[in-house]
Amino acid sequence: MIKTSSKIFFRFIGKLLLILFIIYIFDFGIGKVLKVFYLRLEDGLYGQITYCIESTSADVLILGSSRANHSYVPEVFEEGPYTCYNAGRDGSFVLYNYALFKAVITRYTPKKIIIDISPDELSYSAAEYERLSLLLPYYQSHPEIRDIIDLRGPLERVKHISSVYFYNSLVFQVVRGTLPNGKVKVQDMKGYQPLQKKMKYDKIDTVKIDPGNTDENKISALKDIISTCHKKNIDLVFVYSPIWKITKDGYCNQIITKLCTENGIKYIDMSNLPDFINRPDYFADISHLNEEGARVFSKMLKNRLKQVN
Amino acid sequence: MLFNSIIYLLFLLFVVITYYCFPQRIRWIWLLVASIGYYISFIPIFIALLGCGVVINFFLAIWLAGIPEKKNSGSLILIIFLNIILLAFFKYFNTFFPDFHIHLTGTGHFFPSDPVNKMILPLGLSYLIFTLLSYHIEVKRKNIQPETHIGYFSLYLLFFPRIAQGPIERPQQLIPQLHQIHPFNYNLFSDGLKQILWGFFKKLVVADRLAIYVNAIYNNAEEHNGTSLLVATFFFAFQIYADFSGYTDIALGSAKLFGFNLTDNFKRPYFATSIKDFWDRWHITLSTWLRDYIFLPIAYYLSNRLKKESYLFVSSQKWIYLIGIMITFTICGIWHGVGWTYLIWGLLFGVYLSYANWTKDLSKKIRKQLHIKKTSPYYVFYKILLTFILVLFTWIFFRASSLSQATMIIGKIFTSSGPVFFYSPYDLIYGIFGIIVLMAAEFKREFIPEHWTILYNRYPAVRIAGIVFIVITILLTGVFDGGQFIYFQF
Repeated sequence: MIKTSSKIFFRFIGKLLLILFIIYIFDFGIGKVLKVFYLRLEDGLYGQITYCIESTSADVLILGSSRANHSYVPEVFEEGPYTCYNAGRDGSFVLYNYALFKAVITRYTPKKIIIDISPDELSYSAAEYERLSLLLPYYQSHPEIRDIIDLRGPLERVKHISSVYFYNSLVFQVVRGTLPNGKVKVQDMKGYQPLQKKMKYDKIDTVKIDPGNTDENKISALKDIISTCHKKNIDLVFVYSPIWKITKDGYCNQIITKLCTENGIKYIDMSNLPDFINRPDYFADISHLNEEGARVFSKMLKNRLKQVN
Repeated sequence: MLFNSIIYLLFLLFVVITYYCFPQRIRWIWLLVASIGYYISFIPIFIALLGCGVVINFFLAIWLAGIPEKKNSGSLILIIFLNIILLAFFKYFNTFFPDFHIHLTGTGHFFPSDPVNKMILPLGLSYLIFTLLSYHIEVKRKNIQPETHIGYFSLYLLFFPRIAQGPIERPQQLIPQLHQIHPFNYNLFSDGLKQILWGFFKKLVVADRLAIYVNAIYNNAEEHNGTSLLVATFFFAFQIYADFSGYTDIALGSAKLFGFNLTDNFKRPYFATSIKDFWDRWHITLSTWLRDYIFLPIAYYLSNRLKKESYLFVSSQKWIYLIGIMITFTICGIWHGVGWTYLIWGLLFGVYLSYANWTKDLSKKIRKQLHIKKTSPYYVFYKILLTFILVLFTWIFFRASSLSQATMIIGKIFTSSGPVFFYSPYDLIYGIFGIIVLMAAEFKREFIPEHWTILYNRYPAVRIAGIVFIVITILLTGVFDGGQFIYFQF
């Protein structure tokens, strides 16, 4: 009876291995097909990320969250032969930008990098680690960003056995992207996505940011960005763009100010400029400038950059 | 170690392989060790509480069995009281005594709702207590002899596939299996793996995907119009079903890998043709528990005391049903949690069932007069749709954070229309895709079980194609950063 039982067991294991092999083949094949179509996406968020990682050679590169994406108008910063690309992305803070920075630096060296800062930029946020999944399609082809993506979890690497996993939650976007559509290609907008609406709210919020949950990974990332820029002679500038709220106990401000002072990096705080503080019509909401505000801010920043240079 | 994690899969793989390496007579020890290890991976300190509870209840059952049947009611009440007190302490203490905060730090990860002011409920305590009560009642009724092997008794209660969210196993179902030997069973093992796979599909592709939209809407319900709230409620109906039945599939599948058959908790509930039918298909082990240990004893007690005549022109039978069902579903609501929302959720089902019972003859008469056949597909469809809408209405109370939010949502659904909110249209597309696949599979199993079989097809190529499709779909559209199972909190 024991012999029969072990025979059945080994027969089962054999079949299981066969099924796993078939799954692996399909997974590999579908993953390869998705990769081809994914890299062809020319619009929307994914087209923007691919363009930034694989193609842009802009002299001025803007990094940051949605506040960067909606506040910096690239054409304002383009002067003479200088080109500019806005790689800001909704809900993506230091770690995402660090990965983008590493991918870009491996390919070419921009002349200037502007990093936009948000009030809680250095706080720990589980959602931010989850959002690193945006970079999964580049995991295999960009070894320089693997360490950052692996921060998603201790068993993240196990998931990478699958080729399809890198395109998780992207299949419908890839299908749609391959269909003809009238969307503007990312190269045409240079990454910038203007907001048109005007904020109706006119009361300025005062928010307190809890300094107790600072993410050490983010501080290490900033330090590495600073040291790489020093080595590659890149003009690095941190900017705190206008915001419709006053932050109390600005621990993030303090940390970045300290880092910049220690390393001789420019830090321009334009968060509570009088030109913006009384102009709700420059804002789309309490955190983001609309197109009108973005143009005014971009011009002011350009002038400030000239002064500090 | 959540079921929907890679760690669990690695744990399961290790435990299964090791299990079959041990001699059969000592495999239960390994399962018990693994179950304790599984529980410790959540909140270690509570294993001591559960351990004490298991040992005390083991001896209490033996004591209860030694008392003659006619004299053991008081002893049973005492045992029930002790167990309920333990559950009530953890479940309701902080709600009723908000000034006396007793909390354990560092456990907020699993209970993020309000770890400071809310007593941390030991994982699976509600299910454990209900299992224990069922065990003691069966012992009291002399339907079973008490288990005299403390190891088997502990494993009956702590068996890791069912400890967190049930099913609430009756002693007659699980204890005899613990005494049997379980050689490797090809069919059961294969069936278990398929069930785990399908459970993962339900949890990752359907439940956690829909949760993104549902949470976005319900967490800011004030900001959204009635259309979005209606869509979110519709999604929640499928989210909670896929979440809980997905968990159950993983639990049942895991148990099958060791040669055990647990009781299924779901039987395609959204194809129910009445609310009674719904409860015959939804959380079956809880609904049968409530029926056998609360509703039927109340009905029996009242029918012995009420004369068989009409009261206020209504027969005593219907009054008995009304009282019994309202008490049963009040307890069902309270079991799920403190607050008016859960209570109303339970009471609504009580009202639905009582209404159906009281108007049974009338609806029969109407159907006859309109010459509608009970088996007509249109009539069946109408009944399924009506039942679904009634259940959908109750889910608003179940999901809302407060009674005022629930009433606000209901008001908005009926008065405020507008475009459906979405941050990205893909949130809706992936959600709808999951619902379609899930319901297509359920439709097939409900109406054409013999046809279009995929995972159990006689041709291996079809079976393998089905498995590959599910695996690839999970990898492509599953949410891998999703959270815990909804019923963990109960």
